[in-house]
Amino acid sequence: MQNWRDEKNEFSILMLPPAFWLVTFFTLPLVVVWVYSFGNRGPLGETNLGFTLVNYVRAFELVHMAILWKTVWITIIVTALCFAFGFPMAMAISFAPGKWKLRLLMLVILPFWTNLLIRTYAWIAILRPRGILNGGLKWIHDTWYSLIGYGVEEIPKFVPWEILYNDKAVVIGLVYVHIPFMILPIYATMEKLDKSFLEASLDLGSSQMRTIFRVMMPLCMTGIVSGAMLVFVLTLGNFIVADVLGGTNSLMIGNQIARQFGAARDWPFGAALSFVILYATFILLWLRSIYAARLEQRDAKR
Amino acid sequence: MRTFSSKRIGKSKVIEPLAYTKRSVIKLVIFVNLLFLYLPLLVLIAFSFNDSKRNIVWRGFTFKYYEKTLKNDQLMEALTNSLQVALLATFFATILGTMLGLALQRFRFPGKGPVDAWAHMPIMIPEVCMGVSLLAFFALVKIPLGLFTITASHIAFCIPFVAIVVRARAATIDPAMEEASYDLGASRIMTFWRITLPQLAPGIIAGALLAFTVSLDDFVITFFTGGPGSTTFPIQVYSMIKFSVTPEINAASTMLIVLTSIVIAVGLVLHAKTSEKDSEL
Amino acid sequence: MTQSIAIKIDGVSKRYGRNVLAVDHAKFDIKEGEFFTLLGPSGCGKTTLMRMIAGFETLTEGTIEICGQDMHGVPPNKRPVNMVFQSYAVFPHMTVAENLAYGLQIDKLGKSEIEKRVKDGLEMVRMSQFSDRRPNQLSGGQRQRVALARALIKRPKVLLLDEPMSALDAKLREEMQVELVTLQHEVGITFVVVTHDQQEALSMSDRVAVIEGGVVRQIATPSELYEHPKSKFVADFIGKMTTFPGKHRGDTNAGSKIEIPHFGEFQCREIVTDSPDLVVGIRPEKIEVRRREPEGDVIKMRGKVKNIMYCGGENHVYVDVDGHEIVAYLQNETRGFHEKFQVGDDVWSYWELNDVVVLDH
Repeated sequence: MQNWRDEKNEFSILMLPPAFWLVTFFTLPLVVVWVYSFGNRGPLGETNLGFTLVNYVRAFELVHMAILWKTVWITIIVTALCFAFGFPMAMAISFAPGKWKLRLLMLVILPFWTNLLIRTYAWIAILRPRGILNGGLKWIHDTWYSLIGYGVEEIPKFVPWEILYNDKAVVIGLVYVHIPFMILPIYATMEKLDKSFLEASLDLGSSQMRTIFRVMMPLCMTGIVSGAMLVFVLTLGNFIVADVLGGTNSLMIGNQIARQFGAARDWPFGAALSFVILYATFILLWLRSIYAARLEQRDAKR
Repeated sequence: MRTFSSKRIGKSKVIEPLAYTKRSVIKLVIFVNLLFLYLPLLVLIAFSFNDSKRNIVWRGFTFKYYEKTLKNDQLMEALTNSLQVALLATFFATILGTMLGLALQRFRFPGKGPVDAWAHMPIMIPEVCMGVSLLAFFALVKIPLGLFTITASHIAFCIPFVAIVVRARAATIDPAMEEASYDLGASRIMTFWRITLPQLAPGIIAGALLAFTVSLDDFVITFFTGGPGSTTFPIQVYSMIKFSVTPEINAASTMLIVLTSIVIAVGLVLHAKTSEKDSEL
Repeated sequence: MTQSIAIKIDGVSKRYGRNVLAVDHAKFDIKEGEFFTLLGPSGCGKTTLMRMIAGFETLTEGTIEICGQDMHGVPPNKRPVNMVFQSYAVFPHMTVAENLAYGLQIDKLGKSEIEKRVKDGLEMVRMSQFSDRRPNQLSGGQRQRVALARALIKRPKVLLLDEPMSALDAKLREEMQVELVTLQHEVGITFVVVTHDQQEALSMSDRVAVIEGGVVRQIATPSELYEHPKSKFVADFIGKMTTFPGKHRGDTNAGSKIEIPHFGEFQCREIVTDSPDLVVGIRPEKIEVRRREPEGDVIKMRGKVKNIMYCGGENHVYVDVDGHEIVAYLQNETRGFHEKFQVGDDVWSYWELNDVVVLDH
């Protein structure tokens, strides 16, 4: 790696244009919103600058606190589910023989390339009362009673499972949208893992399960942490899934922000809400970088 | 002896300890995951051909929703807008992202860590936050929302994607290649055009394709930075979903899926070709 | 025959940061037409020195002259030297012929001239039939030839080779060593090779510079270096040597008197330095081992056989002499010249006075 001083011209030519663009269309806008978050809303929905913490205080009022709390709760569940399904899948890919490895990897990545909105929307056809899922359940219900139900006088009517337009649908949708973000980083670290660690553990008499939990998981921790972090951050700020699959009660904080900048037209409050999740994101990213630095140090000492 | 041992193996299948994919638990995991990932999309595509308003029952094969979609002027205009934005955004983001990727890969400079983190922030922060901040910014500097604001935002959003891919590619190039070129008498500029750029090309192309699909698919940022008359395809689909769930959306979605798939397929073929070239290196 | 100087290295130092001194006041000349090797363990500064000659590193102190011209401020693309890189750096997106032509196109030579030189270059390294191949279709050895030809057809004053054999397997390595020497004789260009492999350095070079910790320890021909190493480091680095601590006990007409504590005194034919503490060394193939006490003017020591390693062509016999370990390489022949030993045998190990090397501490 060169020192920038040795090639000042080359460095400036390469660095300045993209930096200019990112400052103008990324950093400045964030600064604007940050400043707005201390302002207040005028009677016509205009934004007046000022210095007040009212918006932040409002964000933690009971009504909004409930949304915030629910968002965090849903995010935790989603992250946990992504891990529960994603870790074994990453393992399956990483240990798959030659050709299958690439194929499985492609199969995991492909849906991720499809439009987020469409992927979310696709669940409606499955989850709705007359959708695929309830169709399947009804079929099981009918067959069950046609098999054993001769003695029963009145066959109970099939009641569709209410799973669309509520929090369950939102969780399903969010897991669906974000699971590749869990699988890929775990897979990446697992690939670099020296498989003889596992063999050593098995050789020392440990069971497969114990080997997975005591050797493989700790050694894949970087991947697990990055994956969990990605899923967490992305879920926290997502608003499409709740918008499309959620009911009137399944608002998440993302929806709330969108509303403040849309119909509600209370930009200072929306700005404050944005920065609440941005701060959370920054803290998480910062924690991860500390964790990564510590791991690096540990590896360097080895 | 030999027959005995082979018989034994034939009776109870011995699985090597680390051949996890041969275990039925893991097979089940793969199956469930793939079912989960693909069922919704397959259902969506299947029903775009279903001759029924109510999705659940198969009433026969039809193209009529595609006809309807193609005749839908609003949707077609949205598609044109989307392509226009994606092409422009890709062009600029590829150039800027390549520069950024190279600068970060090559140079040591004070404050590199924070700059590095900052440059990748557009990928990491929640899209809603970026969307609303751009909305507020454009309102403040009084730029009317429209295709320009969407494109400018998409460029900012796509730069880090390109930079990551280009940087990864640049890291694989042996630094001795450039030194060899100087050593053989070439100037810096000539070395860049004849040695660095050709070797960087697969990364740049991959980055461009990534930027293109990201821009084409983007909903959230477009939702906030777009205005009347600048409806893109995902925005149009969104309003259709909000209005009512119709098979037409399935058809439109399938078309978008096919479009992205083509771009990805092109990218994969290119990638396969270049990695074939690079193999054994 | 007086040879003119190809490269003059004068008081060259390279400092990284404040504390790391990669090269420390290197001062030597490389003659025209010479096969010169920079030898040393990894991290000793030999590569840094070569990269300074090529122009990829700046000098902290001193000057480098190539053919009488000060190279200060001359960029790599304007220097009359070319380099064969450790990784060969054969451009992967060009064919073999295009790789060779690359350097010539920059010199703005005519098309026919370029074609001719490329053709000659390919013939020189016997790669003519591969001219349209891509580097990824070539083996390591073939890639090395391409890199060699690519640099040589620029007709440089000096060819620099950075660890040229490190990417090759052992068998190919020996073949290429012979080939490289032959090639150098043919083209008559000064070769400067960096290597950490002492065998390679001894077999190929006209002269070798042994470098340690950024300091040039000794510059000599291979045989001088082996027979008369100046320091313990050089002696250890090049081949194996059994050493004893020694004391300088004054000089007589016949030479210097040296005492090896506990083993007695002997006369040495060389005049040694003023420092009383020194090291006495002996190469293992110069040591004889025998059951009967040897007669005559030899240095002899009584000990026990500790270990015998069978190494094919020779046996390595480790003899314990009062806690000192003496290693002798005995030819493994069937004519019965050497006795057969077993571990625990009482033996005499002895050597000629001439074969003793006295080293600076």
